[in-house]
Amino acid sequence: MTDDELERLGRKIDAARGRQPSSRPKKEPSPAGEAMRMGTEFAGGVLVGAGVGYFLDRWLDTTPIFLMVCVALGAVAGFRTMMRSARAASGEEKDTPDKPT
Amino acid sequence: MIEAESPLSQFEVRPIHFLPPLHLGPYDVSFTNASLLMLIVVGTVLLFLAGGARRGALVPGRWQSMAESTYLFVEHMIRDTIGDNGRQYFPIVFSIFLFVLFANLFGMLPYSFTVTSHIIVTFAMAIVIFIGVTIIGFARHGLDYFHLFLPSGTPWIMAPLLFFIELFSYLARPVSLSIRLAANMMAGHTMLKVIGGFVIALGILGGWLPFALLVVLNGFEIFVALLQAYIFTILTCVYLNDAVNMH
Repeated sequence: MTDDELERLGRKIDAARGRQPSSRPKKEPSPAGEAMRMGTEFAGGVLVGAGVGYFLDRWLDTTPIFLMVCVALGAVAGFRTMMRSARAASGEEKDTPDKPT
Repeated sequence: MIEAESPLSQFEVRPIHFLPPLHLGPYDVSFTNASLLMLIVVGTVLLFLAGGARRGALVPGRWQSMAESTYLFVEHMIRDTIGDNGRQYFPIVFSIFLFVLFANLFGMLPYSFTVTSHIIVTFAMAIVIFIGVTIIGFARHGLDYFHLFLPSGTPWIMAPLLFFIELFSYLARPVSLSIRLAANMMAGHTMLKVIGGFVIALGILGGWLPFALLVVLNGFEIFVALLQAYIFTILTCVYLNDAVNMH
């Protein structure tokens, strides 16, 4: 392909681009995907809490203290992650002026 | 078909029967349908990229165009979430994206096997990402990386509690990452099998209704396969971003 041909092709591409309404559309995550994501985030927190608590209890022989504490902590952690991704998802749509942190 | 198969039997890992069973110490390491599918997936990815790069034409043909736009898609994703610092992690993110994508799509073929519906497969990937991200974080920021667990401006009385909560939410990442992908693939494929069973059960007269639903659901499942590959990859990027840039 010669330079001349390339030049012409470039102009053709530019012309076609100019005709298009806009550049590529922004990818929007689907609501179902978002919901599923948040659900597993919460489940993940609880599961990790339960796992850590169970093994701490087995190791220190303190059943069921660590299990109880860690499941609670894990649930809070899962909830925080969930809230954070919810805030990130809605923050892209509208700017919240009085955002903490 | 006389005896209905369980909708879950599609997820069974079986050794390929004409190959000799392999044992490594107490472990059964036979070559299974899952191993075969993973090899096929990797082979197809290689073929896809090598075929796309074969000509290296300045004005790409169809195949090269597909490979290039896949490349650019992941490149844009990394640039949007991590920024220029993320360029060096492109190979791992691109490999993960292609593996998950092709594994999901291969699962849509009849009589094939969905490797990503097994939590051990997705968890193996997630734990590699998790350990890698943690190492990158500590290598880049040293002990400052602990600030991720303790946001600045925390009242000191809340600090220990918040530290543990943040630690748990950090540890939960690989779990939720792997559960999400595996659960999505498994749920969708089980649903397809159940609806498919209705078609057989209702026979030639009533079977058309579930059959129409099945066609729609198949399209939806392909969408889910693409979406879940995207979500898995974008979350990898988000986690890498935390380690690289630490807000």
